[in-house]
Amino acid sequence: MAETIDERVSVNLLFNHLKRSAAPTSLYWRGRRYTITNVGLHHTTREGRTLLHIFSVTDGTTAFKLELNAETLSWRLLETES
Amino acid sequence: MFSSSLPTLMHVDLNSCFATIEQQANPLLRGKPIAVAAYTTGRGCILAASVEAKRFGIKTGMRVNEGKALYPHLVVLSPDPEKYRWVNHKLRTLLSSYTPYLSVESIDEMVMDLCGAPALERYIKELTVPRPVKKQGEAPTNQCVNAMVSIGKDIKQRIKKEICEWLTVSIGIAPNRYLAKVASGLHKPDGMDVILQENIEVIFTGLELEDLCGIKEGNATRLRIAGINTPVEFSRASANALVAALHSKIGWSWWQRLHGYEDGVRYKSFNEAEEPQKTYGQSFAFPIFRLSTDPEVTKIMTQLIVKMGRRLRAAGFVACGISVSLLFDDYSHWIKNTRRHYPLFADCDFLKESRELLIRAPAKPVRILAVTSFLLTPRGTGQMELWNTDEKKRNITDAIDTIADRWGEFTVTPGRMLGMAQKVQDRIAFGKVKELQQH
Repeated sequence: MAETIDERVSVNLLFNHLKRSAAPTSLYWRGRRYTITNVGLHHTTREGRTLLHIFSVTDGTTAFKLELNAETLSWRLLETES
Repeated sequence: MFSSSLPTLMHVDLNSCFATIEQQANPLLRGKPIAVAAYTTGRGCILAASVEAKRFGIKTGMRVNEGKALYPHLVVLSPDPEKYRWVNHKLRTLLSSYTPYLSVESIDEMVMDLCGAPALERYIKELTVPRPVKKQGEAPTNQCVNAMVSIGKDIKQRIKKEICEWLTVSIGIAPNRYLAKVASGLHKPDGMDVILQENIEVIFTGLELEDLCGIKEGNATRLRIAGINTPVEFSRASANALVAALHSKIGWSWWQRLHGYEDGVRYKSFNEAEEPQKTYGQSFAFPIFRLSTDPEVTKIMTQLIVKMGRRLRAAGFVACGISVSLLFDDYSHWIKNTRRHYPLFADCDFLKESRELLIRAPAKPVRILAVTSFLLTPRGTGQMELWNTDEKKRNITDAIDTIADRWGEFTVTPGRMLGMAQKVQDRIAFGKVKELQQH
């Protein structure tokens, strides 16, 4: 069952210039660091004119839905599911 | 007589679309029976079941509690339309690279016509060149089939590489759209079948009449009364026999479909603009039934009107009519509408009219609430008023729309929406292709 979180979080993102791909690698939330092992889906959406990147990722035991606001470059953790 | 057209039609069907996309997004759910339901509560309707859930007999249209009765550990998820629209958009882009003749039938079904497309000719050439001696006398149909199958395999690979590794599609290839759709449903998931004059009877031998798309109880009974008991007999019957059996000229369309001809009836045309929309509406299914007099119903209606008004104005229309319809818990239906000689465009006007309608509704528990605007005319047309102009209201509405365009929906809302307990969620309209294409 997915749990709505909607909190600001810290995220490390790696851009690979060879693969031309960008993906979050780790997440800091409520004092804990989670290493992201798999990016399931990366899609985009808009809130008004603001482009939002949504990354559905997992650390192997918990699934996280992360949102990157392309205007403010801020991250939010939208949902978790374990 | 069977169509002499080459099998250049390809029907692409995403398997368990919503559920598979959710499994793609969350790798921890892969290989598990999951379902995407309108609501995750027991009465919620299952919109898509994963391939694993289907093995337990869980199907689209079942209630969540029915699904859980079949498999108690079923994982039930709420729909996330943005993900599905994104995959639909990606798939559309991918398939468009093969042919400009692409028809989006729904969120999970697309049809391509590769007749005359450079991609098909390139594949035919590639398959023919390395073995010129062997292939010299090959019939054009075989060359075309081989090329179409190669394109199908290529599409499957590219979907896994470029869109989602977990996503599978079933592909049907045939000389017309109908047979291509039938072919796509023969082996799910991840199947690929070709229906031609040579194999149609072999394929139909393993099917029941009801297995054919478009044949359900009514048509099947009519056909059986006329002595047509199997799809093979159905395909062998003459056009006149089918017209007589189905008591309608539809029999002629069926004859065309089953003989590889396009009937021009059942499907949308390739790349053709859809007819202009005649109504704009929104609906909401209550997870917990509420009396029509409940203030929460008015709040939900306000939210539906704001969404409807935004879509109406974004399309450049005003409406002279609005209707409110309710489906009650006893499945009785109530609908009332109102028409005005002047155009309605502002949310406050729609809300005023619809509240006056809702007051007249019977005080019974409501399952589904819908509002619809109709009698549409393009904005800026019609008689201008000298007195009592709506200029101020129009400017305010435009300003609110501009704010929503910039900052997102419901940034400025009617006061009635404040403190809403229940939010109207974004939903996928399965057959509404136009709004998918605008994405």
